[in-house]
Amino acid sequence: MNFSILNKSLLLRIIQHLAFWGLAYYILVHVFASSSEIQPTDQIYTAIFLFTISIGVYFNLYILIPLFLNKGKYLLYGVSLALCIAGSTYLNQLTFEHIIDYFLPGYYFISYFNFLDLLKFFAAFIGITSLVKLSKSYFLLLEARNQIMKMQKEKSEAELNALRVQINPHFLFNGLNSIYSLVLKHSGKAPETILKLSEILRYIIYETRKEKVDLKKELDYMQHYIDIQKLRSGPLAKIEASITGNPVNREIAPLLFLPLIENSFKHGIKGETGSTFVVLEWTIGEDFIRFVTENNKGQSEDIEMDKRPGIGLENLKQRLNIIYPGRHHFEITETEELFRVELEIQTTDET
Amino acid sequence: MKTGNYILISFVIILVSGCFVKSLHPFYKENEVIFKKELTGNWLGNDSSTWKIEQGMKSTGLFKPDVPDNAYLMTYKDKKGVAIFIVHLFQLGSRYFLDFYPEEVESTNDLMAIHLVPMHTVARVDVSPGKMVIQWYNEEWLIGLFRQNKIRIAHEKVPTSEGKMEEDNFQVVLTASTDDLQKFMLKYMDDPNTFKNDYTFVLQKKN
Repeated sequence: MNFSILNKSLLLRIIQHLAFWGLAYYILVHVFASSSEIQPTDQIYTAIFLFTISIGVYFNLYILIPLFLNKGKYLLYGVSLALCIAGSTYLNQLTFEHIIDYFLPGYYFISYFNFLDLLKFFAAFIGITSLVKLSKSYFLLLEARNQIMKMQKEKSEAELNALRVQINPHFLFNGLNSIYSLVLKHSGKAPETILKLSEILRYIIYETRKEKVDLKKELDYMQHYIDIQKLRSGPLAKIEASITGNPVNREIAPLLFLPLIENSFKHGIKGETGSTFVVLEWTIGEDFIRFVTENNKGQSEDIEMDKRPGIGLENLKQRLNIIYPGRHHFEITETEELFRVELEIQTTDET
Repeated sequence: MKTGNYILISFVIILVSGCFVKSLHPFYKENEVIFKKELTGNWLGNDSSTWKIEQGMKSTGLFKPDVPDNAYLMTYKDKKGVAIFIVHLFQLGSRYFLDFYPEEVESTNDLMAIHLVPMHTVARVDVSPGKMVIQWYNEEWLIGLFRQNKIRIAHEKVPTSEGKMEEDNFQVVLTASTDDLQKFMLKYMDDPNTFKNDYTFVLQKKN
């Protein structure tokens, strides 16, 4: 906050306070009129009366509320507020009974209200100003809360974007590896694979920026990716992909399955042996989407060579925590020969 | 207030036309009223007026006023006529005061009488054996304060007995409550101006 904004805010606050006291003066000077016409002594009396009230009001607003109420010391605040009201009431009475004679010699004033009536006046003023202050604070709190929520949302979006950006090079890296294998084998399928890869890349770059994407479309592109991996894997590998349930008119956060598929192919399909397999199963229920991958584990030397934790899986976990907090189940089961991942997402709140 | 065949007398003229502080509300509260037997009797004023002070009592006749027994029925008589007041004695601080309220003001006719609004006046009283000094509250001083805008007490400005209502020529009728009247009297009781006027009556008790 710069100096000019601070000045403007202070000026606005001063104007608000002056307006409040001005209005109070205007009303009270008519209430306090000692005859059918407002006399100068009525004006003096009202001004001094309001001055004594203002002491109680500002003592409450700038000392008691910050010191006790804002810190949750409600009992202490209640007691000190009652003392503040009684004290300022007594000050008013004392002012018109004695103090005023020193400041305005030659003037004849008395305290025109009894203590109980004055107490009601002071309680009303201090109570109203407290409520105004608290309602103002409440609105400021709401504003701050909205600001925090907005910032949290922006932070989450930024994190998601960062994670999505990580997917692109990761996917590209794996895709290029597949094409590289085809080229090494002098396969004629390399051009077709490059086209499919570019299509998937276009989908990832341009269509997955939304919070949710069409499930059917997402699964179609996953199928493209599986096709690419099939080409790379050779005829002996057992690759199965199945969908149970209807993906039409369903939505899901984009690119949740891709890291799991990538991971299955990366570790499951190793070499030209017949024992390699990747099984991918989607089950689409009314209020959930389940995806299970199973693959054989690679040769021990392959595993040893790749001890680096999978960036893709870590990325996926973080995204699931942001997008589906408390609404997803992610489980990795590993045996000597099998690597199984199960992801289930509750879609109750999805449209 | 009963009305009858009235004649205006000097004391009443004074009450109506000025010099005494007039109030719509009494200067005393019922629970503050005291009764001193030594005030009763016949008194002779320094202006040759006579003051007959009796203890109040419930009316016994058609033309007798109904006066509480803790109050006094005072009959004032001078060479110009007679006026009757209900008088209450009360104490504020260390001083005694008398609240005067006209019981019967004789006027020329009934129509005149119904236009008269009875009002209270207040006087300080000092009683010693065989002597009583009555000093009325100083209206001249009070009006001076109102003219200078230096006093705040509920009031209304009314025309003078000559019908004048000017910025610096008017009368005042106090409309303040008894509470406020007493607070004012108490606070400024020692002010030398409050009872400094020409309407001081020194009464000697007649044997």
